[in-house]
Amino acid sequence: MILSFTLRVTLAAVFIFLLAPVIVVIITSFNGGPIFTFPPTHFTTRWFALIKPSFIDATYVSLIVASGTAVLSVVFGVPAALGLSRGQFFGRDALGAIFLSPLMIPALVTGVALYQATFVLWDMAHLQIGGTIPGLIIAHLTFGIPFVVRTVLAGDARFEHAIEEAALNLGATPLQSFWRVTAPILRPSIISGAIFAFVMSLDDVPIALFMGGGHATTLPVRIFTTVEFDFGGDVMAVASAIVGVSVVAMMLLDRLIGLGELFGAKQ
Amino acid sequence: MSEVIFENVEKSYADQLVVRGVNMTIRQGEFLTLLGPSGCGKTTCLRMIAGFVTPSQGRIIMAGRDITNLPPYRRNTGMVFQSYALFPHKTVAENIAFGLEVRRIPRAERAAKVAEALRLVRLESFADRYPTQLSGGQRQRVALARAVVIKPDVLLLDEPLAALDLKLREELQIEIRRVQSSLDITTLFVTHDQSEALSMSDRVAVMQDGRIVQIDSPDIVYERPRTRYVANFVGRTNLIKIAVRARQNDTYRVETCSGPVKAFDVIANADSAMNIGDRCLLGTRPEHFHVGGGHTNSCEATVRAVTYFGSIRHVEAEGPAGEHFTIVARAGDPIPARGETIVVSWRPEACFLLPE
Repeated sequence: MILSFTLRVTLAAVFIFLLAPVIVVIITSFNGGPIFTFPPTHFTTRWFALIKPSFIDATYVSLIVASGTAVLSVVFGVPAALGLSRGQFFGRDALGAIFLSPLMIPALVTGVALYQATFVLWDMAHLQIGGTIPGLIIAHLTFGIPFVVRTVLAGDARFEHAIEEAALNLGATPLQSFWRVTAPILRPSIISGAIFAFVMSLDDVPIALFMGGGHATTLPVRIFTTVEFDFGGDVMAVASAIVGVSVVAMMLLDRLIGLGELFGAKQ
Repeated sequence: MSEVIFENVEKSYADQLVVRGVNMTIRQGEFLTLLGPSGCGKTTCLRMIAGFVTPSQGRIIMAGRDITNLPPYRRNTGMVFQSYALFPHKTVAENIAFGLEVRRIPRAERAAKVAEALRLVRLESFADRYPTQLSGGQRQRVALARAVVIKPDVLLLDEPLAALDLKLREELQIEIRRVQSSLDITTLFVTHDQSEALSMSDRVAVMQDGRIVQIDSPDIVYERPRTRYVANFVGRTNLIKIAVRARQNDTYRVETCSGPVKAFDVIANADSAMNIGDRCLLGTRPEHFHVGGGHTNSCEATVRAVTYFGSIRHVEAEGPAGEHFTIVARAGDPIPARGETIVVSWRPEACFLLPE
């Protein structure tokens, strides 16, 4: 009884600690008084009307970049993970470590390195990838692919290989076996990797700051620069809109797939 | 015709030979069992028919076609795995339909065949369940239905009962045999369980170190084992060291080599080629040893232990030259006490000769 009481209090404290800032942002976005006054003086929705079109454009860029990153991370990450987990070749473990290493490098360092790489590419091949959406997606693949590789490696470790043999035995070609058996069984791992890649791409500032330039400004970079030079209630409105969309997205995912299954909490 | 023929098949990994010169024919409609301890190459042989292992040498012919180098999906085999290997994301009916789908069987025909297969393994009411909702025995019956629904040239059973408990195992032995004979499918069964091999098979091939050492019907394998290895792997055998003294056709007169000299008569099978003077082993099954005299061959033994098994007792005894004897005593037989010296006797036709 005492234990369960202590547990509840601790749990409540953790939730308050995690959620309080978010709730303050939401409340502030409806505050009619001067920015940063708390508690709010009176209710208003005018900050939402004042959101500049540049934020909407930046949202589109962010969504395109995040979707592209998620899809391409799956396209490259799944075969890479399957090769790493099933292949028998020299240097497999080293290659695995290299595949996961971008997750351990600070994003700022990756950003600077990629920034430099864009100049080298321009000098050598007149390829303009800096400041473009494809360039930004390529940059985000540096962490998107490792996320997918990691979740698929974990999923494949539990995969029973006799199941694929059963498919081949029943007459499925290796390709049919992959699409009808392997991919559906690994689907939760693939989807959770893709969601990680999507969310991290949406969240990224340091790399987008270097790679986005003036033409491919993502929402976080837009917010970041606005906070620096032109802080107002509209930023709060943008922030609270993002929170709203995230909550709806999470609820939808939970309904459709189940978050527990998706993130390996239950099996 | 869907015979499977092994022609001098060998398989080596790195420098280790796991299958050595195997020649055998699995006849049309036959239930053939590969029996042996783990690591004897029996599973490798089965996987070579399925196409998951390529022989290093030799040929495998199935239904008149050389399949040695065909990929698994171009052979028409149905395999049942020890771990069931059901598709976890598909229902029972979808699992069974899989092989028909990839063969592009039209939907209506597919549904009819799946229903028939479900009826065959008595799982009609489980069609829409997922594998995780089934018991081990039910899963293995789904696996069996999935393997036979495609009308394979050969049914391959890779220790399908090893993961089940005894009672279920016995039930499924009967089930598998019933399905196999009603469909008349050529079948290769792999097991390390000798009682399973004896009760289910038309013929048993006993394997040792990658070789088939004897391939015969179960009663011949048990009653006339060809080597000491077979005699000890399939059931128990009481062995006495002897030398051949006289021979007349199938009837041998033999004498013990060590301890006090005793003479025995043996009626061996015609092809056991022992000559006068040869040293060999006299083998007798525990159930053919009788406590007390009354049969042609007899010797003395000292009782070391008596173990009760319900319907029978095992009397463990030490022979005149220190041999270890096991004697089966049935209800009504005299039960000797520990330390007692008894006479053991047996009939000449109930024993066999083995090379040393």
